[in-house]
Amino acid sequence: MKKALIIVAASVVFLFIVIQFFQPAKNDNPVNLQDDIAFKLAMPAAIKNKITNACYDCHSNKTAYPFYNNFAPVSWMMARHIHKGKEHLNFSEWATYERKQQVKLLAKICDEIKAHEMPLKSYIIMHRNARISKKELEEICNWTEQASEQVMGQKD
Amino acid sequence: MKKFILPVVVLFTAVLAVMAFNYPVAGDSGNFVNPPQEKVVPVFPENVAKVLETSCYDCHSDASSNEKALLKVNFSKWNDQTAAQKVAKMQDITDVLKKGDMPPAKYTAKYPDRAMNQEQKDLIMKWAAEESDKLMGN
Repeated sequence: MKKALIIVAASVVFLFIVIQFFQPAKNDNPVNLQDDIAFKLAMPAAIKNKITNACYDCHSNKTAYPFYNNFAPVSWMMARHIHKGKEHLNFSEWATYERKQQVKLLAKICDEIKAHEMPLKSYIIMHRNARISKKELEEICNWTEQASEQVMGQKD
Repeated sequence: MKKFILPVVVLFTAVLAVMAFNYPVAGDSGNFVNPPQEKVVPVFPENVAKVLETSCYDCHSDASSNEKALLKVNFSKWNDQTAAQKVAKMQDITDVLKKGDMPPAKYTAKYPDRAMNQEQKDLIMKWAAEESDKLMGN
């Protein structure tokens, strides 16, 4: 019995060590600020800070990684979240979206936060300043509405 | 003198007759004056409306009580939206049609005649693209 336990524990440790050699590429790309949403749309500082803190880790070209990202399989999970997040919306590449897509994305930002779909629960648990209060949500939704009007008035 | 009166009387009678004929009957705003016609602009082009009514209205109109669906879009209240909201919805519509998420497979399995064929999907997506461009001033 004791022997079996030792074997299991040893294999777990061994496996943990082995998977550390398989680390995903980091989301640490050169950021072109001219393409960022903050450069394209009027954005009050409070909104910009909140969105940067609550969204940019997965929805931009640069992630501020916590120390525990150095360990697989946490790093794998994060890489997947970031990949999927950027696929849906990348604030760093805002300028590359069609204007009607921008209007849609702005509406989605408000909708998804309201529906508690974003930020992800697992992310909020680990990132206190990613929490969005009711008041902040209201401010964000007011801003997305104004911003979509701004996009409507812009030219391609 | 007599010769002169006769045509006047005839003319006068004729005018009266015409007026009487054209006078509106009570409750009939018909043919005397043309009432100002209110120009009704349809919310959707006819061919688009037909597809929406067949394949979407069961859940996405005032006839539905499906709250989750109505939260996404209610076609009966389409014109209550701002131009920006319409553009956002039309992008959503295009996305779900492209992905084949709508109408839901469960629904079309039950009502095969309410499924959308590719031609109908293309029609809706073309309308969405053109209408958004128009709203965005492109």
